Amino acid sequence: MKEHVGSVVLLDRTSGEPVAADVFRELDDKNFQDIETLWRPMLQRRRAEFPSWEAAGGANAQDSHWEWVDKAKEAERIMGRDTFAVECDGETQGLMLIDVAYARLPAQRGRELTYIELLAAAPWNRTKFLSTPRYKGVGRVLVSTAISLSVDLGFNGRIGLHSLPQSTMWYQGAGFTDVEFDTEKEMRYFEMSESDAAAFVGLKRSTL
Amino acid sequence: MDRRQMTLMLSDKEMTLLDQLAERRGMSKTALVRQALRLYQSVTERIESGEKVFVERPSTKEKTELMVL
Repeated sequence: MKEHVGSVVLLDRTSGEPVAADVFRELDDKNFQDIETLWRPMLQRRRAEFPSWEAAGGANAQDSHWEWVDKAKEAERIMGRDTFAVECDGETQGLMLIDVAYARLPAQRGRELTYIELLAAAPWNRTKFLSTPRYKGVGRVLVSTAISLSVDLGFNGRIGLHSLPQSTMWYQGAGFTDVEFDTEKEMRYFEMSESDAAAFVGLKRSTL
Repeated sequence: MDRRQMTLMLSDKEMTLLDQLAERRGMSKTALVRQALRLYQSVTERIESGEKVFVERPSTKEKTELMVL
């Protein structure tokens, strides 16, 4: 069942003013409706403007094929899998699917961590996707949520993820360590240690 | 997240193992039991759907089937 887990603040890029938003655990029909009627058409239209998936990274549209609804419904019945939504203005501003996996950084190798399987801001919040995106801070809110969950599960803030090529710079800038190129997934794998996570949460408070 | 409390009765041997694993994994006993439950669900679902679960040694690619009773 959908559960409110926290109130956060995003930045309205046009006005420069902070706006109140909420984070929810587990998606509901309204989120599914937003995905199908708002997110998917925008993503597919933008993706179609490019000749290849690689080139679509130039507009932050490499995730146009992600099946959020199917993944979220599957997560409902699997322990350790969870979905989160950031909502503001009555619309879904960001989504995240998490799981549990094992750390790869040498200092924490083999320890459990919160693994971010999918993370996306709504298309209208993305730089390069639109010339004037709406809200800033969705990605940071979701990464902070993953860190909080990691702490809650006893993983001390450790998190990891595979990044789309379009997002690697963002994760590096956020304090993730670029661990390796995963040849099985053909994506770069990033991880945050306990201290990286603590620094990120501190950074988030000062910049939002 | 809503949480419920229960009392778990364990033998000395089981409790010692729980203590040792929690220490080794750097987790509380509650966190460890939660992860054990998650793993058990994952393994059970795969076996019930007819799949086999293997452990692989990376250096030799040698695989050993995980037997779950």
